[in-house]
Amino acid sequence: MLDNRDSTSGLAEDVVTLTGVSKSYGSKLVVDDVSFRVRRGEIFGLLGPNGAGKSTLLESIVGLRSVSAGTISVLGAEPVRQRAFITANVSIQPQSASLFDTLSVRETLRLYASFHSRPGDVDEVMQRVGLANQADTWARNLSGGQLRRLLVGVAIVGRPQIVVLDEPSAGLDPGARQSLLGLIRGLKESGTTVLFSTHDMQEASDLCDRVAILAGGRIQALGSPDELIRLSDATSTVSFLVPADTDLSFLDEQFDSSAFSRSTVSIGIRVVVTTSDPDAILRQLTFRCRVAAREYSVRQSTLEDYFLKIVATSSAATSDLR
Amino acid sequence: MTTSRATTPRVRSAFYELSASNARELYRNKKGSFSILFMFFFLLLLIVGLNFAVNDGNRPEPIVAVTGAAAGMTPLLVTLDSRGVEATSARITGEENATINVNDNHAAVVLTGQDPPRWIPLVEAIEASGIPYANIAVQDESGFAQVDLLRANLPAVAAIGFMAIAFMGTAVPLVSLRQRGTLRLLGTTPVKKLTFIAAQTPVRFASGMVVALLVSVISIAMGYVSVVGLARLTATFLLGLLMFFAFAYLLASRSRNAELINHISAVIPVLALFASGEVFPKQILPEPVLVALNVLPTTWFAQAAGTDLSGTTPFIDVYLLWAMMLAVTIGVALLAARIFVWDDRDR
Repeated sequence: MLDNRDSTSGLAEDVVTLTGVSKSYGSKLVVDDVSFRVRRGEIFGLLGPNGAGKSTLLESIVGLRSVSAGTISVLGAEPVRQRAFITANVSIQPQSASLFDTLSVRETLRLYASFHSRPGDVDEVMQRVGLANQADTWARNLSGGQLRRLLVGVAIVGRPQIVVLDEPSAGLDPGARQSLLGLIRGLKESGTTVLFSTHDMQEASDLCDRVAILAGGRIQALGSPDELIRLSDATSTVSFLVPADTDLSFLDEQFDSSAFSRSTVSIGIRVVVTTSDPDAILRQLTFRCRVAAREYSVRQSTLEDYFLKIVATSSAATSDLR
Repeated sequence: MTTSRATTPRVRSAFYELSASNARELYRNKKGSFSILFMFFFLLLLIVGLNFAVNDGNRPEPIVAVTGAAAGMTPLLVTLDSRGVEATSARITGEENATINVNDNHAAVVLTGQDPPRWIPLVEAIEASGIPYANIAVQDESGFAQVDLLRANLPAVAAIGFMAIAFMGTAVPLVSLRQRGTLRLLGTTPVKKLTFIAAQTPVRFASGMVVALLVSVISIAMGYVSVVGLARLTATFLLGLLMFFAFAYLLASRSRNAELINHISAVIPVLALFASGEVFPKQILPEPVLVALNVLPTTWFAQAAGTDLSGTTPFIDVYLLWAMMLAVTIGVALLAARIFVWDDRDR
C-alpha cells in the first residue's frame, strides 16, 4: 500500500497544499484526512469512483466549501477566508454550473472577462475552446459538450494562476475531448497550474504529471501515472491463437495455472497469458517450431488496471471495517 | 448554428457588462419581460374601464345649479362656463341634474334626478376654481359617495407596477439564478456582491420609469396633478422604486427556492395594496389598525403618491415620508448586500 500522504516538495514551488483535510456532511464523512501538494505549472489529476469526494475536494480548494478539519493553502492564502485573492487567481469549472441562458458565447466570455483586472482576449479564448463558430449562439442553444467548453472558457478568460476543472471532458465527443486535452496542455505550457478530476484513466495518463487516486474519501495512491503503474506489480497480457492440436505443455511448465487461460474457438485455441515479461513469451512462441501461433496481441498494464485494483482493495477494506 | 467572425468589442467594467447582460436577458426573455409589466397594465386598464363604466359611460351632460357663499360662486361659474358646462347661480329651470354648494373653500356636489350626470368634469372645474380636491365631496341624492376610481387608485396601481418589477422581475430571477448554480459560478469570480446587485437595477429601473411616466402622463392629462405636484410625484416614484428594489434584494438575498419566492412575490403587492389604506376607506378602519398600517413602508409610498395623485392628506408630511422611505431603502439595501450569498449550500 502506498503512503497516502504526499511527502514530495521543494523542487518546484507548491501552489496548493492540503494537510489532513476532512469533510463531513452531517454524520457522513466524505473526505478523510487527505494531504497532498500541487506544484506550480503541473497538471494534477484527481481520480476516483463516483462519490469518492473529488468534487468536494476541488470545491474546497477554491473556497466554495469549508472543511471540517485540516487546512488548505492555495498560493499561500486560505480559500474560504481570503476570497478576493483566491477568486482573482484561481478559477474553477464546476461539474454542475449554469450560465446566463440568453447570452451568447461572446457575451458570456465578455461578462466574465470584465470581472478580472487583466483578462485574456475574448476572441482568442473562443478560438482556444473551439467555440469561435458559435460566438453569437446563446448558451441555452449550445450542445452539452459546447456548454462544457464554454465553462472552461469562462474559467480561463481571467488568466488565473490555477485552473480547477471538475470532470471537464465528461460528455464530450472524441474530437471535442482531444481539443480540450490540447487546451489543457496549452495551459500548462503557458505556466498555468491545472487541477482536474476525471474518470478517464487514459486521459489522466496522457495529461497528468501526477495523479492522486481517491477512494472512500482517502487518498489511496499518489504519484506520476508511470510510477503508479510500475508500483502496482505491473503485468501485461499476451493473447494468441494456436491450432486445436498444438502441444501447450511448455505453458504448464513455465506458468502457474492461474496465469494463463485457454479457450476453444472455432478456428483453434485462444490462449491468454498474464506475465510481467511479455517479451519472453513472444520469443518462445517465435522460436518453438511446433507452435504455429498467430493473431498475437500484447496489452500493457495501464493506470486503469491499477486504479481498478486500488479501488477494489479500498472497497474490500471498507467492507471489512463494516 | 450561428457563425460570426466579428471582433469582440473592448471589455468594459464589471458593472457595465453586468448591466448590459441583464438588459439583454430581460429583452430576450419575452415571457419574463411581459410578466413584469403585465400586472401594471392589467390593473390600469381594469381601473380605467371601471371608471368609465361607473362614472362616465352613457351619463347625461351635467346641468348645474351653484349655490352657497357668493365669494366662491363667481369664479366657479366662470370656470364651469369656460369648460362648456351649463351652470346657473341657483335652481331656475328645474332641469338641473346636479347642485354644487360652495362654502368656506369646500364644495359639495349632489347629483340629482333619475339619471345622474357625468360629474368628473364638475370636480375638475371646482378644483380649477381654487378649491382643493380634498375639500370636494360628491354624492348622489341618497347620500352615496361617488368616487373617481382612476384617481383614487392610481397610487395603488403605480405601487403594484413598481412592486411587480421589483419582486417578480428582480427577486424571482435572482433566486432562480441561485437555484440553477449561476450565482455559485459567479461567486468563484472576483466580482463583488454589491456590483452584481447594483447592476440588476438599471434595466429594471428603466422599466419602473415606464410605469412612472405612464402614470404621470395620465395624471397630467386628467388634470390630477400640478407642475409642482408632478415634481414631487416624480421624487416619490424614484424613492418608492428604489425602496421596493431594496426589499426585493433582501427577499432574494439567501433563498434557493424560486417557486416560493414567486408565490411570495405574487402575494406581497396584493397584501401591501390592502395595507396601504388605498383600498379600504380609512374611516372604516379602527384606530389601532390605522396606526399599524402607517408603520408599513408601502403605506408611506402610497400616501406620498396619493397626496399628489388623489389629493389625499397623508398622516404626516410628505417630506417626512420621503425621509422615512430613504432611510428604510438605505438600511434594507445595506442589509441585503450584507446577507446576500452567491449560494447558501454548505456555508
